[in-house]
Amino acid sequence: MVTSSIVAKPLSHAEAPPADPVESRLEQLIEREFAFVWRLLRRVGVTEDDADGAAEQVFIAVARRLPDIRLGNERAFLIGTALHVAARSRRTSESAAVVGPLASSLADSSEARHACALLDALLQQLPFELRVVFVLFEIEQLSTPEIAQVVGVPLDAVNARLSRARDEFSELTKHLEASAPAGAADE
Amino acid sequence: MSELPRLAEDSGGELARRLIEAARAEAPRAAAVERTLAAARAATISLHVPDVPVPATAQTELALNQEAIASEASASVPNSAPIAARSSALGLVVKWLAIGAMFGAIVSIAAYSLSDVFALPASRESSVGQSKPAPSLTAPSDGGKGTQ
Repeated sequence: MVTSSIVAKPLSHAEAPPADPVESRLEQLIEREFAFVWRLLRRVGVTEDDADGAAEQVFIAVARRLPDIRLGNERAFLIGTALHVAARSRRTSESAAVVGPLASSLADSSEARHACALLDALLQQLPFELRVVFVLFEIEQLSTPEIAQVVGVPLDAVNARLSRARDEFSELTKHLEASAPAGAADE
Repeated sequence: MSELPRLAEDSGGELARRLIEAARAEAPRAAAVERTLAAARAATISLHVPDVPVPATAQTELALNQEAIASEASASVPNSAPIAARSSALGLVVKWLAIGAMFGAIVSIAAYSLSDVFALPASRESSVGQSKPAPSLTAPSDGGKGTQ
């Protein structure tokens, strides 16, 4: 239906045909948002091994629905789809990241990989809806109105969730720093 | 309402800052981006030319295997505006309305034509008598034969 109109569109110029607008929009979207979607998937519980495939699923869903997605609304669609794919992925492979072993080597948290694993273990302690808001605000640095728009909840609810998530996260990190061996928290 | 300061920039503590900065810096491999580009292109190609078999490359196969998950995922997303689904639902309603109207018209025509066949003789006569002009009282009853 939509695609046939694209295919049947007469060429206005004699030179090379213009690139398919849907395809070029999709390519731009993937190049611009892939890292964002991949990181979001990782932070909401998808393992590193599964993150590539999960991100691919998200963009295939986008590719199939792109003509229906309004311009400027892509991120909301991507986040919604990513959270859905992440929920499925977490159901099929419950990652058992635990804080204990990671916390014992806090000195290594300067190493990015280890820090991310520790962060994921901490984030898993938060309820899912708090985790999503926390990740979007603290890591992806979206504003609260943006989060309200893309998650589809009122701004007051976003602020309440964010406040709870920050309190719980701060509590967790303080507890971790306090329980870590002396000097381990410092490099 | 002013925006809250972020933990990594403000009061989150050293550990929170390091963890959040590490997460911000994490990035996917370039190969994953390339693979996704290829799979998404395959998905759009299969949308554009539904009757032509798409070459079964590994990417395409993967895309097709993931179709069920992907479509289910996209269907549950708010603000996705499923125009195609809505228009097909509307088309279905219009189609059934048209079928109903045609059926009603056929039944009406049949009933009207059969009503005359199955009508009672008396009512048929009365309807015939009503349509004839009333006989004149002044006219001769023998049709004018007696005057000859």
